[in-house]
Amino acid sequence: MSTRHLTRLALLAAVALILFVFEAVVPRPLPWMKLGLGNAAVLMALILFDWRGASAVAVIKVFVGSLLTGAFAGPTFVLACGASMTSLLLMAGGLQVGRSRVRSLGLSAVGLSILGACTHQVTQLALASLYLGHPGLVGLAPLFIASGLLAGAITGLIAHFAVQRLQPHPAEGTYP
Amino acid sequence: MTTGPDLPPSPLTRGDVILVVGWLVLAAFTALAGPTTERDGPLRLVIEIDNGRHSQAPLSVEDRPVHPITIEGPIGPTVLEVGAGRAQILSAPCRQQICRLSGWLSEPGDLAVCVPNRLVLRVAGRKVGHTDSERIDGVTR
Repeated sequence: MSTRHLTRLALLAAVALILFVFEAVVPRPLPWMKLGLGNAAVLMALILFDWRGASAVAVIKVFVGSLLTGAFAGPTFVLACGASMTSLLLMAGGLQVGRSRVRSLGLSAVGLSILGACTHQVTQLALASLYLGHPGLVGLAPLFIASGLLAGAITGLIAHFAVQRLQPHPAEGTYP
Repeated sequence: MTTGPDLPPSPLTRGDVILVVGWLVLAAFTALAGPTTERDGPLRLVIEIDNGRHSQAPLSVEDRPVHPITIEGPIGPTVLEVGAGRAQILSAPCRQQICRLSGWLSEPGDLAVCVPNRLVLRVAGRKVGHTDSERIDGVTR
């Protein structure tokens, strides 16, 4: 990986981290409602680089972000970690579908973001249910999915427009 | 000649639509098949720790003043405020305080969860005035 790529990836990681910490201190309408702006940077890394680059951004976002917000190593950190990883896994899979022979089923950046956001929400809810051993949490699933659809669409649009504008000038070289 | 990365298509592809419909179906399914709240009996706050029922507090007593309840959870005390028709979390021993964001719990099915303290609070029962026999049509003195 060239220095240029490493620098770009590091910038995306910094953006993801800043957005993650910023969101942690901003008041939310409901406890489980969060835009997940940091995921826009993860998605950009996935589209512009590859799943390895995106994993690096996601891991830095969750680990350093949790250290900065004070959630590190607690149960909520385990939830955030598991949710981030499954969400990235499905987004990477979704992107590959679009690049494979079944292109007609491909997802846009908005679709990928919605897939990631809803997966994040459902995974978090499932892990919390397991941890608490309480099936009552499943009752929150419709709300979680609805907020994932909304938040995923917003962050997906941000990622879509950002990726369009991040096309390198021919003289600057390209993404991998 | 340099080429950029293989960008995904513009938003609102066929895949996007199928995906959103799929999530909506899943949301509808969980809404219909998910667990239901006990709607019978007086309005009450059910307090559960580690999936065991800890205690419950009535919310239907009209003239009871608002009073605090302390629950000892695995990581410390969670303090609630319980009054007529509603309850809320006053303080929690966790760092993120997400449970306090749930605000007042008053409708049957309302839920507040503290994951670190393994605590689930939910409102069960029926609100007074939701059946014909309980609805007040007038007061005489």
